[in-house]
Amino acid sequence: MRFASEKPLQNPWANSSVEELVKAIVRSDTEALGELYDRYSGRVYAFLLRSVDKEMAEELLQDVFLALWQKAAMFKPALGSFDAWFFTLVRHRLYDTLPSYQKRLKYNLPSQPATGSSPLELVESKFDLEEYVIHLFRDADIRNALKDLPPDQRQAILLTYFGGLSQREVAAKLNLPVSTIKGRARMGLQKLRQLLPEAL
Amino acid sequence: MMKCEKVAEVEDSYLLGELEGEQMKQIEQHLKECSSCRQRIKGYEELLGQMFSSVAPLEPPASIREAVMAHATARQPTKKEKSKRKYWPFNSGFSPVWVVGVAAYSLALLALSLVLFLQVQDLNKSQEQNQKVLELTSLPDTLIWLMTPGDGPFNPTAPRARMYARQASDIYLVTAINFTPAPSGKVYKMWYVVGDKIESGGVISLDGRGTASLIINDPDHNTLKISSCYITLEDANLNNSQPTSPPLLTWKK
Repeated sequence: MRFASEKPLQNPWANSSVEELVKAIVRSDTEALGELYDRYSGRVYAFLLRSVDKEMAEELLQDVFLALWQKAAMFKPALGSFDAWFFTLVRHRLYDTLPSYQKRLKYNLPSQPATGSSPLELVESKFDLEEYVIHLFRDADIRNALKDLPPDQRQAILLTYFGGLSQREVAAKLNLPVSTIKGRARMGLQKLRQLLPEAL
Repeated sequence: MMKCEKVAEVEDSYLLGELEGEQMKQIEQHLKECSSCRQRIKGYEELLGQMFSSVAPLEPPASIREAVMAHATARQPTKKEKSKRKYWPFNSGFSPVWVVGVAAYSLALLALSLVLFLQVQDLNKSQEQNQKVLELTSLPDTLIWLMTPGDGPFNPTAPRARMYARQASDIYLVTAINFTPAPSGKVYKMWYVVGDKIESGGVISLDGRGTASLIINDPDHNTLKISSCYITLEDANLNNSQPTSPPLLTWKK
C-alpha cells in the first residue's frame, strides 16, 4: 500500500548521461550498470544474433556487460564517444569467441541459427543482403549511406563488421584474394565516413 | 616501430579485434605516437559506433540481466575492503603541542609505520592479484572453459561455471553462477585434470545468491596440459585429494 504523499520509487539514473553512468560504474554502482544494460543490451543482443546462435549470443551478452563492469575505467570521454568505445569492446569480444564457436558448429554441437539466414548464406543472396541492411539499422541516414556504397564495398563491411565473418572467410566464399576484401572494406569505410560526417 | 603503411595494411584487422600478441602491441604503441593514424582509426571507430547506435534492438531474456547483476554484485568490493582502501591514519592529523609526549608519539609513529607498511604490502598483493584476474578475464589469449551439466539446450538459469586460464598467468579463475546451496554436510569442490593427474582446485564457496569465484594458483603454468575440469559434491569433513562423487558440471577438451 502506498500513501498519497509517497512518491513512486524512481530509478536514480534514468535521466543521466552515458558518461555519468560509466563514472558511477567505475565507483562500482550496480544500479548504474543496470541502467546502462537497459539502454544497450537490446542493441548488443541484436548485433550478436547476426553472427552467432541464440545460446552463444546470450553467453556473449553477459560477458560483454561483465567486461564493461570491470573495464569501465578504461573509457576516456576525451578520446571518443562511449558508443565507439563500447562497440569496439563488443566486436572484439565477439571475434575472440568466433574461432571456438565455429569449431563447435563444425562438430554439430547444439546450436540453432538465430536469424533466417546465416551470414555465409547472405553472401550468396543479394536480396537477403538488402533485407539484412534494412532490418539491422533503424537510422534512415545510415541505411541510405549504405545503399549509396558500391555493392561489393557494402557487402565487405556488412559481412565483416556486422556479420561475424572474418575477411578470410568472405574471401574464400567469394573466391577472391583476402587483399581484395580488405581493400573493399577499407574503401567502404572511407566512403561511409564521407557520407556520415557526424562520425568524424 | 611499426610504420604507417603497415598500420594501414592491418587497421581493419585491428578494428575487428583479429590482431593478437606482438602485432597488437606494436599497433597500439604506434597509435600512441602517431596522431595521423590515431585520428584515422578513431574516425573509423566512431563511424562503427554510430552504426551500432542505430542497430534496432531485440529484447534479450530477462534472466541475462539478472545474471549480469548477480555477477556484478558478487564482484563488488565489500564495505570492509572499501574502508581498508581508504584507511590512512595520518588524515586525523597531529600537532606537537606537548613536548613530553613527543617521544611516546615517535614510538607510536614507528609502530604505526610498521602496521602501515604491512597493510601496504597486503594492498600491493591484493592489487597484483586483481590485475592478474583482470588480465585473465579480458585478454584475447585467455581460454574460457564452460562447465555445464550436459549437452542439452542452453538454460540460462541452470548452474554453470567457467574456468579462465592463460598459459602466461600463474593463476586460474573459476566463476560459478545459479548454484543452489550444497546440502547439509556437503560442499562443492572443483577439480581439473593435468596430463593423467586429477588436481584439486578447492572448495567453491557460494554467496547468498548462488554465485562464487575461486582463484587457483598455478605456479607451473599447466594451462595447455589441462584436458578437463569439473565440479562435484563432496563431504564437507572429508579432506579428500581425489573426487569421490560423479561430476555435476563438466568441461572437456
